[in-house]
Amino acid sequence: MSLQPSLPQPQLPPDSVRGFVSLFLIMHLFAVAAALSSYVSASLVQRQLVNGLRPYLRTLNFDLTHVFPAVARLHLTHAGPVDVDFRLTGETDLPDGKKQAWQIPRSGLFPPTRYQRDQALANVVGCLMESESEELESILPRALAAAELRKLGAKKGSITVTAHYLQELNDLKAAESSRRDPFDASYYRVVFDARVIAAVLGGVDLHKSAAKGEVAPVTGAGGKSSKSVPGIKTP
Amino acid sequence: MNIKTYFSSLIADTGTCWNRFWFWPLDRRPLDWLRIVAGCVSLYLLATLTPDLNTYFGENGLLPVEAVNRVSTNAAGDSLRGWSYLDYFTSSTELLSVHVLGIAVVALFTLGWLTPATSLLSLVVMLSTVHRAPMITTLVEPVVTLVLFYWCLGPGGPIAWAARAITRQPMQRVSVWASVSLRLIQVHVALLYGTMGLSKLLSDTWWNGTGIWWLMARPESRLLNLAGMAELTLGTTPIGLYLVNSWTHAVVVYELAFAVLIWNRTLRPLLLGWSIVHWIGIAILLGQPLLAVTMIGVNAAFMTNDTTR
Repeated sequence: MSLQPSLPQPQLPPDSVRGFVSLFLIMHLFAVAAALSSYVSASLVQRQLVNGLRPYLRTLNFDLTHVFPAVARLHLTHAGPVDVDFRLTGETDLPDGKKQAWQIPRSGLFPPTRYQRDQALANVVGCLMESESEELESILPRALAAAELRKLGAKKGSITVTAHYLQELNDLKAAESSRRDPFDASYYRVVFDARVIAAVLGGVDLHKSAAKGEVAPVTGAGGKSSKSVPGIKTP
Repeated sequence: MNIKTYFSSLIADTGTCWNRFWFWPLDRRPLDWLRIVAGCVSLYLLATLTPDLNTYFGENGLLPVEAVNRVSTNAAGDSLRGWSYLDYFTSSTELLSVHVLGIAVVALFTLGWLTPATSLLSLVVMLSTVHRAPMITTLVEPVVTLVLFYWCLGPGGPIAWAARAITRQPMQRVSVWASVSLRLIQVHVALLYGTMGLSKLLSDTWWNGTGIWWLMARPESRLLNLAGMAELTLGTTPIGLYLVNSWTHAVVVYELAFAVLIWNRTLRPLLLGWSIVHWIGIAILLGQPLLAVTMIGVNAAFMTNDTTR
């Protein structure tokens, strides 16, 4: 059968080559389609498929369903509690009794891509606060706090994760000036707050402040500290 | 037509279309443009990472390998992150040395030098950078790495080079290698657009026309403050709200339309042209001009000889 009668017939590769390449194409595109179709929500069969194909997909960075909800958001936003920007702040208690403050994203970064990387990191830390696992949510804050303590040779400090919730459309015309200002304090909410103490083996212990005046170890035997992370100001 | 004839004809037609789509030789020039786009974007990403290499990956860095591994492991104990050569370096000298070497490789690839080797090495460099710390990446990296991967399957990549060495044939401007490489990029990009559109529809936000507002309202991320646009009124008509609603619906319609209609030769130039408006708008909202550059640049994959003829 002629492929396109109006044009000269090009020389196609031999059948064996086409067969081999076609097999690769079908398998590859099946893997890509499985990964993309299970991007936001996956059925049991999709999960099993992607798990089986994960070594291939992961190696080529085709599996975008990382544990980090902030990475590669193809949907851009779902206006959920994690679709906001987070900020990490901390204080390191220096040996001379003074305190040194730090924050992520760092200020004054140029070009803006550097700031965006810091912001992405802060957003991942904030998003992980939504996970059901207290151990998972504390991994990155622990690593970040440890880095800050080691940098200054300090033994104690603190780390706070703050979410910057967003204005609703109606807030633009609200009577109260505080609602019209997106940087008003009422739009910020602390979602994680912990004291950091250097451990003997080089790591750090996090003692999470469940509420003002109360301090509880993050990975202790007790239950999860009470925590309420609201959505964006109710869309 | 009986059932047997129908299925025989279906199989024959599918085979013909398959061969026509994947194996009809295409001009490799769009791949040269894609090499420059992917190379320049990769170079920019690597160059801007240089001042923060130690801050993130150093001995006392913010993202030690162990913490990244633990946070990338799912409940079943499977690691969700790929291999990275950067995992093995922590001292600032070592990190800087391998990083500069990586930049040099990507620069050579961008210039089109020794592409059978530098294309593959550039892919390794970019994948390693992404896998070392996926939490500091954005939407740009998955697109760049897919272009680099498919470029390796094209006429300038290592497989075509080996095949030419065996058959002792010179590189031709129009080839089946270019066809396979470009078609894979086209299909993958169309699937990405489809996923972008469909994943938005899981949320009320994109149905009720406020999706764009929730991007505008993020003060830390946006490039320009367009929030005032939502307040515009003409008499009692909330023009601003209409604009936000229309923009939201246009984003979803465009992304879904791209996935389906980009295969129509007549509509393709229109969709490719509109992508410039679409991605510049998204870049302003997300504060990511590099994303616009990448997505508009990737359009070159659709500028094949059957489009430009």
